[in-house]
Parts: sequence; structure tokens; C-alpha cells
Amino acid sequence: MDEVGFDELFGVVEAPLRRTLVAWYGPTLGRDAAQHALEWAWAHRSRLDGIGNPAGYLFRVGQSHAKRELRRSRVSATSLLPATVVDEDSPFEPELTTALATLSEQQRVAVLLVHGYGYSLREAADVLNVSLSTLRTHADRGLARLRSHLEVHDESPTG
Amino acid sequence: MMSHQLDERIRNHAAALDQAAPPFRLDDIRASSRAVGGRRLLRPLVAAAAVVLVVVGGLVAISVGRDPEPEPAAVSAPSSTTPTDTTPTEPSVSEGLDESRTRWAAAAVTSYRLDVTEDRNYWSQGCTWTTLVSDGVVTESTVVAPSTARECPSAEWTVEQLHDLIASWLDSIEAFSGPEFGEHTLQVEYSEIGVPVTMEYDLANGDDEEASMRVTFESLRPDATTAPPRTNPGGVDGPAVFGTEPLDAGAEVEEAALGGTLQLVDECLVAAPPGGSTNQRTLIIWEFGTTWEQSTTSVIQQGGERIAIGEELDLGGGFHPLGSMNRYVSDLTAQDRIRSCSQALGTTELFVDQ
Repeated sequence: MDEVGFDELFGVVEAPLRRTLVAWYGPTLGRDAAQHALEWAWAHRSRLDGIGNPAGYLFRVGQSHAKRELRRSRVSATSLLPATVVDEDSPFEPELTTALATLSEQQRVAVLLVHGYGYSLREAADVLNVSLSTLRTHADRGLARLRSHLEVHDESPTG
Repeated sequence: MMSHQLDERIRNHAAALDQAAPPFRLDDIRASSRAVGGRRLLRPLVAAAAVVLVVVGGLVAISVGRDPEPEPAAVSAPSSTTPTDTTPTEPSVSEGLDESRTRWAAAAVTSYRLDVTEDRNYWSQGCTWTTLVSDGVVTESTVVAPSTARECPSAEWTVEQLHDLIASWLDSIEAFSGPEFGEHTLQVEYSEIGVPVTMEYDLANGDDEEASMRVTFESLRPDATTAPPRTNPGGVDGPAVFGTEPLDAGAEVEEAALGGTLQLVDECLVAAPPGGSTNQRTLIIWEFGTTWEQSTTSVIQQGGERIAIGEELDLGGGFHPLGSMNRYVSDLTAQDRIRSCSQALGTTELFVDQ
């Protein structure tokens, strides 16, 4: 892959890769993992030519980096999610943040990618390197669990 | 709160995450990559992959290891062209797992007790799960947490699920085989009938294994271990998975009914209830003798009845947990198909057509 090819790849994978790793590991470690994966991609861009799903591959590169960092720092991934304490300056809503933290990583990522960022199921499945059905299951179950946790009700026909 | 409000809150949360972790600039990635690249070349690299298959007494020990070896030249070499990477490591280990699955299927043990204990490490708390399986069905499961553990998750382990777990670890090792992922090890010991006895798995080696588990197995019907294999192990025809012949001879024919519409989902034949959600689809093991006709995308049952995709189903048989499939189909290809389908569908239940 030449430099022009890498530029195009960067434009396609940067956002979903960063958002996936941030949804999984929280803003700090997730972004660090995404940076590591993108740097690795640039340094080894010649290897990416034969990879059918570079976003999925780079997600695994970033995930491996994050796991190493977690081991080194001896903290749990959940503790790195956005804080749930009440902070007026925080852009995160505590109740939803708490509910999202109760989901599995795959469910949380699926819900945020599909319902938060508006990615298609196919796009989200590719970056997580899972089948469409698996992604749909994670998204459905994650959303159902959120609805239960937050006591969400369906809209009535009469509004 | 209403549904649309939840959607909006999720979108707001996503936007807040974007603020907290803003996009990268291409130039920054290129610059920082150049800055750290030199240092990375000095790191010890993974070069050699090794597979050891050792028979010790009645146990088979398999390990996959990658030995650290300072070989800077390997960093820029595509892994596919690195001579050591051409060693067919995964197939050998996979074959060991396949062999164990075959031995387990041939043993035809359907009633047993499993005690699965995890070693304590950074990732594990030292929980012990006990599962009783009777006639292929989990009848009892308990979990015991050590006094220092916060909470142990519930789990119903079966031998098939342990095999699946090992298979998923092998998949991970294969997926992360590049040197950038670090050093991986997997060691599994199997009993003579293919039951995993010890399992140690460490992906991207750190201070602790991801998993280290000890398994105690007790057959509750010792004579069953010598049962002869079935006449026909079942198999796959197109997307149709059909069961053994005869189907568990001596067992009573089950009379549960399965209705709905026949659907083909990711190469899996399922029954979908009218208007039901995707979570209510049922995976089917068809009666021995069932075939698939691609030209009409139809299942043709043993008696000649044809059911096309989209048509109504009216089957008789029994609902069973995924872990009991060994009782109904012992062909490894068919078992693999059932496992992949159940994973894709997110279901742990099967319908066995009889």
C-alpha cells in the first residue's frame, strides 16, 4: 500500500476504529489504543494490501495494545469508562453511563456504533470482525438491557 | 422514559465520547509513527512458532508457543513470507482438538459430572463450577466462590462447551499470529476419551494467563464409555444438518411440535415464528435421511415431503440444549455447523426432528 492508499484507508477507518476502541475501553485507553493501531498501520502499510477487512484487523491490533496496557496498569477495563459520579462539567449523563457499564463490551460497542453513531450493522460488524448476525444479537440484547435498566417504554400508538 | 428519548440519550453519549476522544489527524499519525518506529525496532520480536504434541500416559498435551527471539529483520517482513510462519502450526493443534472431539463423540457418554476450577490470577477469582449432565441434558449446575472472590458468574459447562472454548482460543491465536501481538501460549491436556483436563491459555503473554482451568470428569454410566459408535454419524447436506441413524436407539420418540416458517439465515436452516423477533428462531437438526435441494431451495424429508424456504413448518421431535448435540449428531462437520449457526443466531437450544 502506497502513501496515497494509506491516506484513503485512514479516511475510512479512523473514525470507526477510534469509536469502537473508545466504546470498549473508555476515552483515554481507547483513544491510545486507536493511535497505536493507526501508527502500526502506517509503519506496516505494506502488509495491509492483502487484508480484506483492515478496520477489523486494526481493531485487533488496538485491542492487543489495550490489553497489554491493562495488564501493566492492573486496572479493570470497566474502571476506565466515563465516570459515573455527578459532575456538572461532565458531558456524560450518569444514569446512562452507569447503564452502559453494565453491558458486555460487545453489547456496549454494538449499541453505541449502531444507535449512537448511526453505523449500519454491516459497518459495525466489520470493525468488530464478527458476523452480521452476531452483531445484530449484541445490539438487540444490549439495547434491551438498557431499556430494562432505564425503564424505557414503547411509544403508544396515540402518542 | 420513551424509546425515542433513549435513542437521543445514546446519540448524546456518543457525541460526548467524540469530544473526549477527538479524531486523529493523518499528519500526526505519520509523524508520531516515525518518532516511535526506531524504538520499536529494538524490541525483542517474536519469530519462531512451535508446536509440541506429546503423549503422556493417557493424556495428550498440546502447546502452541512463540519464542521471543531478537530478529529485527523480521519486523518488516510480511508474516506470510517469514519461513517460520509457514510451519502449519494451527492445523496440527486443530487436529488435536478434532481428534479429542472425535474420541468424545465415539465414547458416547451422555451422563457425567464436571468440576471446572479456575486458578486464581489477575483475570480469574478461583471459582469452581460443577455441572451434572444426564442423558445429554444439564440437570444441575452450581458455582462455588472462594471466600476472597467478589462474585462468580454462573455457567453450565459441558464437555462440548469446553471443546468450543479451546476452539475459540485457537481462533484467537490464529487471528493474532502477527509479531505485533506478542507471544501466545496454549496448553491443553485431554483424557483418553477427549475430555479437556487442564487448559492454560495466554494471549499476548503478560504476567498471568487469560485462563487456567482444571477439570475433573466423572462418567455417571461407566459402561457407556464402551458403547459402540452409531451406525451413521449424521452429516450436512447444503444448509441442512441431519442427525444420526438410528437416533439414540431405545429412547422414546419425543412429541414436541415445532411450527413457524422455514428460513435460511447465514447458511443455517431455522424455524421462525410468525411475527416473532430474531431472538426466537430455532435451529433444527433434521431427521436422518433429510436432504437439501438447491434448485428449489427446499428441504426434502425422509418420507419425500418437501418444505421450501418461506413455507410453513410442522415438525415433531424435541427441544434440547446445544450442549447435548453430541447425542443427536456425531459427525464433526455437522457439529461445527451447529456451533457456528448457534453462535450466529445467539441461540443455545436445538430442535431435533424425529
